[in-house]
Amino acid sequence: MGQSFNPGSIAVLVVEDDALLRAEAVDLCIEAGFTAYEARNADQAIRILECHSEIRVLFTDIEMEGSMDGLRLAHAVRERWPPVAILITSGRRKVMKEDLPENGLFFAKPYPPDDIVKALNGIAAEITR
Amino acid sequence: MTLHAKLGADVGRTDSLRMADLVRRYDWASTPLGRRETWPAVLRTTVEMMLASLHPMCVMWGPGRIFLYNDGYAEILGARHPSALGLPTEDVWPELWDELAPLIDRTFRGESFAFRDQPLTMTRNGFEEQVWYDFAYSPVRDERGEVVGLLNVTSDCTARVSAQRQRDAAIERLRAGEGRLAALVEASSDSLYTMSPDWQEMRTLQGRGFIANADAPSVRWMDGYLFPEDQADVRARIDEAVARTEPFEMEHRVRLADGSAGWIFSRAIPVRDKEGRVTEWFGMAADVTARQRAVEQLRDSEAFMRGVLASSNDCIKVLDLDAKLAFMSEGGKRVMEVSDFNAVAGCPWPSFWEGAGNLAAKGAIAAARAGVASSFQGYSDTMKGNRRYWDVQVSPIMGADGKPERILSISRDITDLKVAEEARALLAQELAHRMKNSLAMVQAIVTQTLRQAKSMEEGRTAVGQRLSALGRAQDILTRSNFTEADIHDVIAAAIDPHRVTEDRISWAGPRLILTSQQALGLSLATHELATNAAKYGALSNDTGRVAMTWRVEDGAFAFEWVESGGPPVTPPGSRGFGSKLIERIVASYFEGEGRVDFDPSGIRFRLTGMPGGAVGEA
Repeated sequence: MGQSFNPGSIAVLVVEDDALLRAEAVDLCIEAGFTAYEARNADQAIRILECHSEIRVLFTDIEMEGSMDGLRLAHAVRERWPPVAILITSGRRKVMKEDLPENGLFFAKPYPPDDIVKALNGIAAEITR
Repeated sequence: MTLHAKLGADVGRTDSLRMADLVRRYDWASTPLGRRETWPAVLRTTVEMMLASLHPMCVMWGPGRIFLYNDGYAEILGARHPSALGLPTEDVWPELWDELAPLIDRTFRGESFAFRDQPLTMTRNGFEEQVWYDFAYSPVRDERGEVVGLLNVTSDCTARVSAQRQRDAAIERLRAGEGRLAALVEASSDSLYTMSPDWQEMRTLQGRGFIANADAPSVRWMDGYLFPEDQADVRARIDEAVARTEPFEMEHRVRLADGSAGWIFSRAIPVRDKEGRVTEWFGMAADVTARQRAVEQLRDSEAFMRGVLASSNDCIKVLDLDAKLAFMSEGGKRVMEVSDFNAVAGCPWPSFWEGAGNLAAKGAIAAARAGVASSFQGYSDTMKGNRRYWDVQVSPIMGADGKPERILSISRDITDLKVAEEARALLAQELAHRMKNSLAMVQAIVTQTLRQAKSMEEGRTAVGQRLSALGRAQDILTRSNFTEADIHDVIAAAIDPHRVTEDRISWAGPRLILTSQQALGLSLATHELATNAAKYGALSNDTGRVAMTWRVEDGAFAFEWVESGGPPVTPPGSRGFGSKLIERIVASYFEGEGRVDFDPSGIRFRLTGMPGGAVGEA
C-alpha cells in the first residue's frame, strides 16, 4: 500500500462482547498490518490500556455488559489517554456526533471492512507525520 | 237659600217651617191672586187639599200661572224653595218654560197629562243624587166648568226605576254571559259530556271529532269509549268521585273515533238541584294524545340514553364551563372506580391529570370554552389509585344561543393498548438490533471463511453451509423472541443435514436452556464438527459413529463430541476458521474453553464453561 510508516508499531484495542465479531475485527486490524489487542468489556479494556502504551486506537462497540458501555468507555479513554484515537460502532442505535468524544468516528454495524482499514490508516498517517 | 233664611228669620221658625204656614203668611195681595180671603172656593179647596197631601204636589193658577206647592214638592224644588211660592211658573222654571208652557196651556184647555219616570237630580240629602218622579197634570175647573188652574200630582218612583234598571242590567249581563259561554263551548276543541248522578248512564257526549258522538243516552258507554283493560281503573276513580261528590279528574286512555287508542284529560263536576241533590255530572275531556305520546317518546328516549350511557365503558362526563365535574356516566364510574359520585362532583377536572396530562387537560378546556373540540392522551389514576392511560375527547356542548354552555369529556381506558404499543415498539427496536447483529455475524462468517478459502468454489460452499447452520439456529430462537433455546432442539437442528442413518449419530443430556449466542455458537460448532467428520472423520465411511453428550455439574457445563469407527485420525497441518470457531469463539459464549483432541481412534471435542440459561429436568 506504499505506507511510509510501520503500522506494526501502532496497536489497536478492539472492544466487543461478541466473540465472533471480536475475532473478525481483530483479524481485520492484523490484516491491515496493525497490532491488535482484544477486550470483551470496558473493564478489561481499561486494564489492557494501562499495560500497553503502544495502543493508539480504541475500536469499540457500544452495547456491552459491565460497568460502562462503549460510549462511556470512549469518553473515559479520551480523558485519560488523550492521544488515543477513537472508533465507535453499534448496531443498536444511530449515534449523534455530539455524543462522541472529539474527533471520534462512528461506524454503523455491519460496517464495510475497508472503511475501518481506511480510518486506521488515516490515524496511523497522522501519528507518524 | 238666602231668601229662605231671610224668610225664616222673619217668621222665626226656620227649623220647622211648613208650607201651610208659608201659604197662610204669604202676602198674596201682591199677586194676581189677591188676598186669601178673596180667593174663590175652588182655589181655596185645591190649595187646602194640596197642602194636606203627603204626595209632592203643586198648583199653577190663573192666567198668570201662579205657583203654589206643598212640603213634598219643596224637596223637588231644592234651592228654589221657598222663593218659588207665589211666582209665575215661568219664573220658577225658566229653563224648562219653553217645554212646559205648551203642556200647561193644553191642560188649561182641558187635557190631562201623565209623565212617568222623569229624571231629576236632587240634593235633598246633602249630596247630589239621581231620582225619578212621575208627574200627572190635571185641569182644575170652577163651578161654571172653566179651567182655572192646574194641579200637578207627583210621586217618587226612584225605587221602582232603579230596581227596574238593575233588573235590566242583570238580564243584559246574563244574556252576555250566556253568549260568552255558548261561544266558549263552540270555540273549545274539548269534548263535552253529561252523565247520570251515578255515572251508569251517559246522557250526552259531543266528541268534537276525536272521539265518537253519543247519539242517544247509553248505559254501555264504557264499552264504547274505553278498552277493556282500562275500565277497572276508570271505574274506581268514578266511584271515588261519586262517593265523595267531588269533581272527577283523570287522564286516561280512550278509544278514538278512528278506533285507535288515544289519551284524554277528563274533568267532570256534579250539578245539583235546589235541594243539593246531584242531578247529573257535567264534564269536559281534552285530547292529550299527542302530549302523552311525546311524554312516552321522551321516556323511551331517556331510558335509551341512560342505557347507552350505562353500557359504555367509556368515562362520559359533563363539566360546567369552569371545568367542574357535573355528571359522570354509570360506565364511567365503573372504569374510574368511583363508588360515590358526590365525592368527586364539583371537583375541577384537570386536577385528575398528572404531568403533561394536566397541561393537556387545561388546554382542552380552554379550547372547548372557545367552541373547539380537541383530544389528548395521558395518565390518570382511578379513584382507587390504579394508574391508567386514557384517550380523551373534549368537546363543547352548545347552548340554544350557539355558545358553549357546558363541556363534554369522553375518556377511554387504553392502558392495555398503550402497554401493547410500548411492548411492540420495544420489540421492533430489539428486532432491528438483533437483525443488525445477525448481519454483523454473517459478515464476520463470510469474511473469515473467504479469508482462508483456497478457491471461490470452496468459499461459496463453506459460506452457504455455515449460514445455513446459523439460519437453523435462528429458527429455534424465533420461538422465544430470540432470547433462548433448548439445547436438544439446537443440536437436533444443527446435525439434521449431516445425518446418514438413524443410529450413527447420537446425543444425550439434560434439558438445558441456552442463551441466544450460546445457541448460535453451539449450532455453528456442531456444524463444523459434523462437516469435518463427513470429510475426514467417522462419517466419511459407512461404519463410524458420533456420540454427543452434555451434563451440568456443580454449575459447570460440559459438552463432548466423540467420534469412533472412522478412518485413523491425523492432525491437520493448519488450523482454519472452523478450529477458531469451535475452540475460541464458541467457548467464549460459554465463558469457558474448547479443545479438540486428534485421538487416532477418533476426534474428540470437549467444551466446558457456564450454562447460560436454566437447567431443566433430564
